[in-house]
Amino acid sequence: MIADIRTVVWKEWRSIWGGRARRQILLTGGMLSVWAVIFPIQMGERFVTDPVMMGVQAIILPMVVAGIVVPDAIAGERERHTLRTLLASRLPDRSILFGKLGFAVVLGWAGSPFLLAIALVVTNLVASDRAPLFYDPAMLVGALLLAFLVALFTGAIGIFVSMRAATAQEAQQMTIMGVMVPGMVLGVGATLLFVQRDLARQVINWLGSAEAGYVFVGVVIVIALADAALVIAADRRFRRGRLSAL
Amino acid sequence: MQHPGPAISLDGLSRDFGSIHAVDGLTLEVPRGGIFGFLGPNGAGKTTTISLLLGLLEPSGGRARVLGFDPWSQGEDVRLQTGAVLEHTGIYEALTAEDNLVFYARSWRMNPDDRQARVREVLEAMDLWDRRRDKAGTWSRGMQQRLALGRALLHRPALVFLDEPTAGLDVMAATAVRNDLARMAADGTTIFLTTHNMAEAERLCGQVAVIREGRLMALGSPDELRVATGAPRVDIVGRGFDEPLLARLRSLPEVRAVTRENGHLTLELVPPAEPAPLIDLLVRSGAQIDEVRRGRASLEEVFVTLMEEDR
Repeated sequence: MIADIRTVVWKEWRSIWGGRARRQILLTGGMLSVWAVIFPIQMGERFVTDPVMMGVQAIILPMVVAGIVVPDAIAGERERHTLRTLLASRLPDRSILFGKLGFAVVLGWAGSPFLLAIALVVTNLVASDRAPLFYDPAMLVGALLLAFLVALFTGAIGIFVSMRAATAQEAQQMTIMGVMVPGMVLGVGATLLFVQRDLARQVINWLGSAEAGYVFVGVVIVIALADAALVIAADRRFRRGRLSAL
Repeated sequence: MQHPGPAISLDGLSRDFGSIHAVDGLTLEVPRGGIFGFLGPNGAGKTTTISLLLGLLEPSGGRARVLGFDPWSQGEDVRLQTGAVLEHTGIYEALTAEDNLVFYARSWRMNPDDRQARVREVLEAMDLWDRRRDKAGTWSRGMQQRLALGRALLHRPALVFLDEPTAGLDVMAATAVRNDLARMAADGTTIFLTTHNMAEAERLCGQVAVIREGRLMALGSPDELRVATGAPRVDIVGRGFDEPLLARLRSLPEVRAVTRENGHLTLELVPPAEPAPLIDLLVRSGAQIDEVRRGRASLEEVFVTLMEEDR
């Protein structure tokens, strides 16, 4: 099965740089890279100790990339009339599913350290007198873990949406919308924090405390459980007979 | 080990979509080797049948065996030994032609050396090697179709399903694809071919099945179908075929139809009528006859007859 998954990943990697998803990923990555420059300039050295900013910076690109790539890999194949031929191949259902999902999650997740590295370089340039600055290792690991789980969550939702959607664009919009709802709630919360500086300071202090660590672990466990449930359900639903009948 | 029985065996195979019987109790056998034509109008159930035989759809009833395997419960075994070009080529346009084949070669788990050699062999056989690094999306439809045929043959399958492989191609591209099919069959591959092109089926297929509304209407070689379904015909070249004579011929019970065109008279007979008494009648009536030929209904005429039966 591992060899078959690698075969699917190989194809996805080759395809993505020649298709529509490449433009979408480069455009989104470019915009988020600009954010990774602007926020550290505004915040200075505080950026590397701010768990909220770091978390937001870490999860957005993986979420968006997974939300683009998974629908393009399934609904896009249907739209381009290549899905039935793929299903007529020897590749098992599970290898196709995990190859496509795994590729999207890894590609999306790889964007997270990329953006955090840009932000770190900019922070060090802005606060040159205090350089070299680095992220707190525990926070960095937490942010990268969160990025992985969010990418997986988005990708798994993308699988379900793509099995029904007629076009890749429709599937991408529905996937991003489905994942954006909690994202928007977080965004509104972050905005409120910046409006009320005292409150922001309190939240940041709270997030830096030991209790916040427990909260983070709780959030990670909830997302991990949701991921596991979604992946198991996707594994059960992703069947040739079902995909061919649509 | 190769299964010794027929390539495909269907016994009452059915597939419903709601109240629609897409495939309705199909029973037939496809022998090993050669090209088997699966003919029918749009919506007859040809593509659904191929999906059932590849294990892509679950049958609603009946039984199918492909190379000895049940396509639904042993789909992976079926797909391991078959190739397919479905209603669309399934070519990844964002990949190069070579990468399209390498992907499927990897999916068949060919080792890297065999893979490269086989990809080259197939591309050269299809006369596509020189453009292997082009994105497949930049190719003409005919070239993409030939690439898809090459993909279906990569792992040397015992059986290949081809769904309208020449549809939408120009004459030259269609001829190239037909030559590829003839070569594949000569190499011992069994080909299950659906087509709308009766001349193509007549030329390529050793056996054909005609289906309508998911049901089998006829099965046999094109010659057998002509004999069984098409009316016997006599083409007569000569002069003096005037209207009173034609009217007299039309009145005879053994004559189904009479047509006259450019000095050619065509008589469609009601079996088991023989042409000799009719020729005698023409001569006695003053007609001058230069040539008499027993005609045969084309497969297209047989097909039209079958489609119009019981309507």
